[in-house]
Amino acid sequence: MQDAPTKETLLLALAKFLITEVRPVVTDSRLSFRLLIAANLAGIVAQECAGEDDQNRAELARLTALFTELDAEMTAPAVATLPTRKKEARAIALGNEKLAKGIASGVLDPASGTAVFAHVKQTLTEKLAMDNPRFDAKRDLP
Amino acid sequence: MTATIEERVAAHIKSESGADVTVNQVKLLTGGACQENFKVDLTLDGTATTFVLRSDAPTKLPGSIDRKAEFGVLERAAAAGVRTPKARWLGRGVVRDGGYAYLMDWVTGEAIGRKVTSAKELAGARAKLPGELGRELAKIHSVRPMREPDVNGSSRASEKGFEPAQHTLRHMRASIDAIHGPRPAMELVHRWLTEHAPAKEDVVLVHGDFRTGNFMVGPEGLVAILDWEFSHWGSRYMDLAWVCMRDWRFGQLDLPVGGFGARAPFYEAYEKESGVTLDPTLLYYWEIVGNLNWAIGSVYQSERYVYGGEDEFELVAIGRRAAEMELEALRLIEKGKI
Repeated sequence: MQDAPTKETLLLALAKFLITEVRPVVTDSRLSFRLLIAANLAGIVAQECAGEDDQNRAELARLTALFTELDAEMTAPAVATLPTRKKEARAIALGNEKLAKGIASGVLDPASGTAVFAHVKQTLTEKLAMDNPRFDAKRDLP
Repeated sequence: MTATIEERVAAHIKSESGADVTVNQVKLLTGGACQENFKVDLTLDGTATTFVLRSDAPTKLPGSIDRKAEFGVLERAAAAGVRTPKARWLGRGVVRDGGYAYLMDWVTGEAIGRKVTSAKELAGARAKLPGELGRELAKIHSVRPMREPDVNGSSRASEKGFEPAQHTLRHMRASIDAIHGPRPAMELVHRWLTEHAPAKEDVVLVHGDFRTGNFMVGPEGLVAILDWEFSHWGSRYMDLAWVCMRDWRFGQLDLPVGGFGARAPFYEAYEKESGVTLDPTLLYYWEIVGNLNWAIGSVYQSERYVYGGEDEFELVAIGRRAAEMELEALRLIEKGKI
């Protein structure tokens, strides 16, 4: 494991540098806009570093409730030597395959009010909490 | 191609118009994925003037048309009275071998989304825009495939069995299948749209990217409708819904029409000009279609970077934004109306 500063700290320092030191001296409006995007990307990755373990665990728990066989995926001999984080990522990818296929084929009911709908919505909400914290998912729109 | 671009453009205009032409400068303005715009400064029979040269790019985007088809669409739109820059002198090989290009009148104004929705000097324009856009859109939709035998695949769209929603659903299905990795939210929305698809709709000329950012605005109001590269035959509701989508409000979430207006004046102007009474169920349905389409489009942009060998950094940045459109589609499904 690396010593401090953490990767989140490094990325946030990079974002801050781009905004406070580089952007003020950039006169080209297109480049200035692209700098904002770059700083924003660094911020997204920082959020992801800080939150991805909890995010992945929550997504996997919901997927396992929908597909109980994912439990066996986590303990299969083939993945025994993998670190937990990789096991979780594999199980999530498999769960999402099953979910996407089940919805498309009609095996799963994804209507509003079902467990499938609630899971998909919650997963998107958690993704956006990192990708765009300003996105107000609860707000009703005209 | 040994001549300079200025020489080639001058020769093209001279052969098309018969005028005495000197082209002083051809300057690239914007390079899109499927077309490029150049500013052309020239002297035409002794008078200094400026045109836009619009050319095919080396690549295409799914669903986009080439400059030849676009030129045909623009001619029909202009004939229907739509405010759009006059297009003239379509030619092949002017900018690059095999690619089509044509010239367009130079129009001045603001098209950048955030400026259209918030610039102080455009406050008066914003008050007029919903009505103006409703009227312009009705004029675009007055162009019908059965009367246009050779514009952009109109023969298929004129067939009795052509249903715009089914056509769009098939197109989106193929696009989702082409994405790397599973997309449960897209599957959910696509399934809802399949189960709620309208049976029969009129087939009209659809602009295909009718939103803030793709029309030019001046202090007096709407100047011109631009960017016709996604025009096709389909449902009027696709355009009516697209301009109202959350993402095209540019942060002005309480102003559903393009981030500057309420829905009622937009719809009322459209109804008055077209004589069609709008169906709220279809406005709702196609706003969900729009969100799924733009979610797919966002992922497609980043896949061009990840898998397509393009290294434009804004492309890769846009991929994560798909979740915004996916969640907005779910919000609409849950709400049950716009």
